[in-house]
Amino acid sequence: MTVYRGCHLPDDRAYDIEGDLWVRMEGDVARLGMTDVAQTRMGKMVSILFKRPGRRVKAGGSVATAESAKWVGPIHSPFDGEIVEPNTEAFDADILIANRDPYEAGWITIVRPDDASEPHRPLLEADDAVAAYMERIDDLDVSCFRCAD
Amino acid sequence: MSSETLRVIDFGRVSPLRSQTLWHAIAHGVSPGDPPTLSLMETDSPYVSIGFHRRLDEVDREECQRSGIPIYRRMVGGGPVYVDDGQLLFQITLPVAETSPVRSRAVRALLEPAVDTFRAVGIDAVLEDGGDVVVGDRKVCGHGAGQIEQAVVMVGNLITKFDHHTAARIMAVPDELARAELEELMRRYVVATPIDRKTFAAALMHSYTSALGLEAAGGALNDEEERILEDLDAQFVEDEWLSGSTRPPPSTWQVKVKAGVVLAHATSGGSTACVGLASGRIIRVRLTDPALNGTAPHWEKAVNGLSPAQGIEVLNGAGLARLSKLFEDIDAVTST
Repeated sequence: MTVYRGCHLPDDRAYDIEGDLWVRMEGDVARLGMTDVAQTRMGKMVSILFKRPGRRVKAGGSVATAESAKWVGPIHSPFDGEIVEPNTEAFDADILIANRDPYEAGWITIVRPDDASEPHRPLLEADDAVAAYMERIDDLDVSCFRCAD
Repeated sequence: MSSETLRVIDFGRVSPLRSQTLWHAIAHGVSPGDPPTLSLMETDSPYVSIGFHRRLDEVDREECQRSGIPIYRRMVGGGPVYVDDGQLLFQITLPVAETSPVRSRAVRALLEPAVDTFRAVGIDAVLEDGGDVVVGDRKVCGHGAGQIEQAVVMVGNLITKFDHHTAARIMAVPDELARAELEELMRRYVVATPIDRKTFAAALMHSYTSALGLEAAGGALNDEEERILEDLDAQFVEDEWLSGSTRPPPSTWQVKVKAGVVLAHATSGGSTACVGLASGRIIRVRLTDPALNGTAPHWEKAVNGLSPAQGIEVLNGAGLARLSKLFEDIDAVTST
């Protein structure tokens, strides 16, 4: 785990750095979530609407739409594929779950990619991602914090 | 900014449906590198606009139907709002890459020119930390923002007159006491600024061109936007789109009047607590409980000015267990 300006970057997954998204392959499916940078950028979540299981999603298309402080924005899929399981129950129980725990309990959805080798943008494994992400954190001038706590 | 011009489109008076779909069409039509667009319009008759994630049952649909007030769901955030011809709606729309990826910074950057506009026409408005545009502690401009496809859009309004009564009437409330309290809170915290429309529109254009460093250029929808507009006109009247979120309602009813000001209502077994809160303090309260036996005004006065948590202690100390439990419920939903 790397921590830079308060932003946690676990080393057991890949990152879409521009999309502030993490991806963990689990067999033929990919678990997706927001990075610490994403949840900091967004602020306290007040609502989320998931694309339902079985629905098709395009690379770069929205798997969910989240709202925070009058801002509504999409969370993108890195792949063409099919929605397998959105994390509906966790967010129903605690809408701040991604603010509190973006890398574990606050994952967003599971997608079955048509071809995991063809993401919308490059997915960097942690070894390569950390330096690039540190640069992005500096560019954004972001210091991460868990605003729900 | 990759463009040198700010496209300005003043649509004038349009139908309720078009007062929503026109700016959504602009947002859907944005591609990277496109010029920002400042758009303005007024509705020619009343309607209710509900935020993307909000439950439709937050609106009193029967009342809206009786009054001939249509309901449209927008693609940006915030709660249900009543819109009529006393409001000039404006939107700034630009490619997502032209805004800060930190949402709070993007909203602030896009909202500050609107605040400057109010000041330019003589209204001493400021942008509160909570995000509302206020004069003193009263909200003068509603706003919402979001990313729609490749665009970021910030929507706001100039309220030249505000019908507080109807704005409270279109909301679904637990009882008429809550409706009356809601109207009172709206009267206290939402205020109109009767500014000449043309003067405000000109000042708004000046503020946004200055803030973005662009030259204003008049414009109209292009063919692609016109095509999108037709699709959105159809989408916005579909039941499936209007229905929106099916998430369960919260256990305790509450509605936000402005940032930091909420009305909460809890009821159980013949007891009711209807509490208005500002910055976490009770500013209005109505209590009913068989155990009060005519002493409601005394206990309403006793908890006024306290936090709900302090109110729990007062009511517990008075042996008003049911009301104390209701305050716990209110504290749980208003303290997060």
